Amino acid sequence: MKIFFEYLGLLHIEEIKNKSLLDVKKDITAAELMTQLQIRKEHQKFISVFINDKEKSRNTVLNENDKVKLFLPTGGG
Amino acid sequence: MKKITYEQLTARNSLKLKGKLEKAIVGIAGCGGLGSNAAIALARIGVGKLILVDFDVVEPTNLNRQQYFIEDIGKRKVNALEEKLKLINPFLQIEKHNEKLTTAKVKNIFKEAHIVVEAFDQVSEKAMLVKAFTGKTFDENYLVMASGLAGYGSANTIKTKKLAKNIFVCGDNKTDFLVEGVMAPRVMVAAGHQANKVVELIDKIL
Repeated sequence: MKIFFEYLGLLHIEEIKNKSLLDVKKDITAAELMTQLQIRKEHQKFISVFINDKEKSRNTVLNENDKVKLFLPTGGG
Repeated sequence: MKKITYEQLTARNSLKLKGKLEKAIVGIAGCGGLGSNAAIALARIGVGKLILVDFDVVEPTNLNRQQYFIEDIGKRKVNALEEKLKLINPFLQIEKHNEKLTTAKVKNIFKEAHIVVEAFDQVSEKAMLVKAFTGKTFDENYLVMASGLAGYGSANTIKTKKLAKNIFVCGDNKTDFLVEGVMAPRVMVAAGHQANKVVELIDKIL
């Protein structure tokens, strides 16, 4: 199935085009998506997951055409 | 000290903001590079009240980007910043919290704030505030964050983006302070973005 994928932050997934359609397996969760994208575990715990503009648990199952946004804040202030 | 009026202080502000800024209550979560610069910008334009939160003291290494002076070294940041803000805007109400902000404290400390400026340097603390402002407690209050302001690359890569209906993020979302260092010019650009978004929101909601 296809989802619309967007990210903000240094996720080290430059090979994935930001704001693009992504083909993922049916019933994948946000957490599984992060693992599939090989996002580092130490980063995953600080990532906020937004599905269709609402913050959701990483265990949320994704649906076809969902708009999925991952946000990892970058340090410094 | 010479006396001024609130009308004099705000005489050059946009006329569209008349009557709004003095009603605004803004939280400053962290009084370091981002927080001290954003707080000073908001004090200068006549915001009514700032809620300052920081557990730290001023150190010599802060002076390359934070609005403190050599004489402030060793002072609590909330106290040193209060002194600066009062010298600019004597009409400003200030509430100080000399403590580390935790999830449990966010609601109580910022209950009055229309908008909170996230000005922490640690990723874990930034993530904690996102959680707090997307939960049931604070989803009607606004959070203006910063993410990616390190180094000395182009300042034009620092943008303000909407993350959720009540959360905005200012920065390039890439440069990390542990890798590139953190210096006044880009920190002040990001803090300026944050303060400007706060003003836009004050105009919208008050």
